[in-house]
Formats: sequence, structure tokens, C-alpha cells
Amino acid sequence: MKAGVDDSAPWPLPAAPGRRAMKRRGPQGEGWLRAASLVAFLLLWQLGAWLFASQTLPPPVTVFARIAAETASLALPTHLAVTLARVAVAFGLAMALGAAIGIAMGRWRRLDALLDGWLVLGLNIPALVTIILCYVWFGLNDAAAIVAVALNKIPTVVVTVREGARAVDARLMQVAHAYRLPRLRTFARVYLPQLVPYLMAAARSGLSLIWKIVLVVELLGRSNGVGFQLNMFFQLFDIAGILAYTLVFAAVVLVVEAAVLRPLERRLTRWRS
Amino acid sequence: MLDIAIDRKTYPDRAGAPHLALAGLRLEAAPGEFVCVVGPSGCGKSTLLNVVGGLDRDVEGRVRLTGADSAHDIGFMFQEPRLMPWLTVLDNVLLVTDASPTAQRRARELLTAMGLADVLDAYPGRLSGGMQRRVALARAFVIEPKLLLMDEPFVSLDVPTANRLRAMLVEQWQRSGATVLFVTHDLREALALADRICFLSAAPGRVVLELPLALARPRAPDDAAVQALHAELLARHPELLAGLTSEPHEIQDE
Repeated sequence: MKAGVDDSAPWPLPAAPGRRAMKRRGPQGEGWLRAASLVAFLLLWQLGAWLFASQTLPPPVTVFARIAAETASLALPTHLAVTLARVAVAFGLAMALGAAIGIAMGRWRRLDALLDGWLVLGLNIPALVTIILCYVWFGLNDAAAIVAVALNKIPTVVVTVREGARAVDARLMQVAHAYRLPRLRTFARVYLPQLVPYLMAAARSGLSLIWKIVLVVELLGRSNGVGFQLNMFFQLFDIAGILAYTLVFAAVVLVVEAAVLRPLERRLTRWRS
Repeated sequence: MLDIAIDRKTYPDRAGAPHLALAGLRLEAAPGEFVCVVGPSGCGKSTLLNVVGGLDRDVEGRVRLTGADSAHDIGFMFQEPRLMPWLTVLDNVLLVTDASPTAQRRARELLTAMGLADVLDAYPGRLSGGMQRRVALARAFVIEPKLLLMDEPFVSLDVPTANRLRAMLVEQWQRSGATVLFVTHDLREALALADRICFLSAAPGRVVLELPLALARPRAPDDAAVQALHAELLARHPELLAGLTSEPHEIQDE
């Protein structure tokens, strides 16, 4: 059972991002390609809107006008900020707890055997079930919402980090031991750097998962946030509103990925190039 | 003064059965003495160093290092350089010291003395095997060790590189006054380095012969004097490198 879970793990292999980063050559040439693909997307969208000429697919101009209006009324920034705050807290919580449990399970075989069943259970409970139960047990509040999101993410962080903790190089740990390095220095400069690829893989897959679950949580039981707004637009059949929020949201994800995660990863894996 | 008395040291082999690695091993080293330990492979040489270095505490016996304030005064050089690939050359050396300006200066001086002044900020992955070992040597001496444990640190290097590293080791050792326990299976290397050689038997390892050397330094493994001594030694004890002496009464047993 255990092996099956590990094998079918859907998260990316830790080595992959670094290798991809090394192959990335000529950023300027690729920048053009990225821009061209964006323009092509908008053109296709416009074409579709013309062809179907339907209420259910408004053209890009309408959606951008809607973004401007929602931004001017401060509705969009407010709801976006609320959602981002929930994402940040849930992400931090899931990464910290998941990494701690993963390290412990990778280190102590007994603990691994003890918790492995729970882990399989955690990996396979549908997000919706966790959310509903958290709301029922802890009430319709932000704490319940964040706990629900974190609970969904923690098991995948644990599995990824546990792999890393199992792969820790005992020979390097011996160096720390032989020179009697203080515990904190051993952890920060000898142990943790070995887990970085795994932590980065967990962070990337974690961010994309948490975005999605936070919206569901908001839709089901919060009275603000992007998920709440989407639900309202759905009931009003306001497709322009839905697309406006979705676009801004996707843009924020891209910016976080490009401005935070990728530079961080490049910095941490500098020594490999 | 280093005083080692290991009555029994076992460790579980692959099948889980206890394997007796060392038994009745007595070894002493005077302060500042360079002692080489030579023995056949599998005789427990690495195990001996791990016990002395405190990496392995599951042992019947004792290791005493008088004159040292604490275990912090022990430097260790492994068979592989074992540098942290994510730390620069300088940070690898500083890793094992405190961050004081004195330590910083000493680290830079050592690295410069070893011809590494140009690569202080490089990552180990970019260095050749010989350079990586020089960094590991600097890391061992930066703590100003009372005792330096070396586990075949110069294997798998080409001959000129290994000779250069041995010369650097001897130079730093003479400057530091550290006691060195140097494990090797290469008798010529031991003859080129040591004040005294202790020959171990096959497992379970114990000292079967102690050989004080009075050869002048500097010496190299291919010096005529070293070669002559090597030949003479093997003529007297043909099975020495397998851990057997021809005159059993020479075993030092007090």
C-alpha cells in the first residue's frame, strides 16, 4: 500500500525544476514567445466571442472594462486581498507542519510506520469532505476555512519532504557530527540545504493546489473573497464578472510564481550551475 | 597524549549478525606524533577512527585524549572530501569554526597557503578532486586540532597530486603540533609520512607490530630510503600487509 502511494505521487520530481532552469536559454527570445502566446490567446477569445455572439462568452474588451470597474469600486482589490491572505496563511501553515512531519517521518522509522496509514487516509480524503467537516465542527469562520485548506495540503507536503529526509546524505551528517557542530548550525547549513529541492517542489505544487481549494472554501462558507464573489456572479449569470475575477486571479498566480518562487529557487540552487 | 584501549567493537553485518571488528586493540600516541595505521582491507581501520572520533560510541573500551579541552579539538578527514556542495570554499572551512574575525583570518590564511586564494568564493562542484581535498585539509586544520584523524584521505588521486597533498599535510602538521592518526592501506604512503607505523591484523583488528621511523623529512613515497625500508620490511615480514608478522614474539602486549 505504501509503495503504491509513493509511486503514484502526482507531484513533480524534485530534480525537474533545476534541470529545466539550466536548459532555459536566451530569455529574451523566450519572452517574445510568451508574449505571442498571450496575444494568440486573446485573439482566439475575441474570435470565439464574435462567432458565438452570446451572453455566455463576452469579448475581452467587456471583461477588461469590468476589471477596471470592479477595481475602481475597490470590490475586486478587497476580495482579492482577503483571498490572498487566506492563501498565504494556509500555505505557510501547510508547509511548516508538513515539512516538520515529513522530516520526522523520514528520520524515525517507527513514527513513519505509525503515521503512514493516516497519511494515506489524508491523501485520499476529497477536499470537499474536509471542508464540510471543518465548517460543521469549527463553525463558519476563517479559522475553520484555513484549517480545512491546510489539512488538504499537509499530506502531499509530508510525502514529498519525507522522500527528501530519507535521501539525506549520512556522510555529510557525519562531517557535522565529527566536528561537533551545534545542532542549529547542523540543521541550517548541513541538513536543510539537502531538502531544498523537495521543499521547492512541495511549495510549487502546494501553491497551485491551495489557490483552488481556497476558492471552494470561500464559496461554501465565507461571505467575502474571490470564491464568494464567483458564487454570486454564478447566481446572477454574470459571466463577465466571473471572467474578470478569474483573469486577475490567474495574473496574481503568475506574478507570484515568476517574482517569488522562481527567483528563490534560482538563488537556492545557484551552486549547481 | 592519546590513549586508545578497545576491548571489543562489534557492528551488525548485512545479515544483522554481529561482526567483531576490533578486539584487544591498544594504541598510544604522544602529543604531536604522526602515527600511521596500516592494515589489510576490512580489518577495522575506519571503525577505529570512527570510535576515536566519537562517531561510533557503541564500543567496549576507552579513548582518552589528555591535553585537549574537549572533543571540539578533533579534526577529521574522510576518504572523500565531503564538502557541502551548497557552501563556497571559504564557507565550507568556516562551517566548522566560530564566526570570529580570528577564525576568518585563519581560514583565509590556510586556504591561501594551500593555493586556493583564487577560489574562495567558488562552489566545490567546480573544483578538481585534488583541490576539493585541499579544502577538506584546510577545514581540518582551521579548528587548530589537538588530534587529527585521517581515513585514507588521498586515495584515488594521481601520484603528483597525492604527493603534493602529503607535503601540505606535513607542513601544516609541523606548524600546528597536532597529533595525527592516519589510516592507510598503502605502506609506502605510511613510510613517507609517519613518525611511527602501527600494523593491524586482519579482523578482528589489533596492533601486531609497531615500527618507529627515523627517516629525515621531507620524504616522498618514491624516495630511495623509503623504497629500501619498504623492501627490507617486506623481506622480513612477507605477510605483513595481510596482517601477519613472521616473529610472533614482537607483538606488543603489555
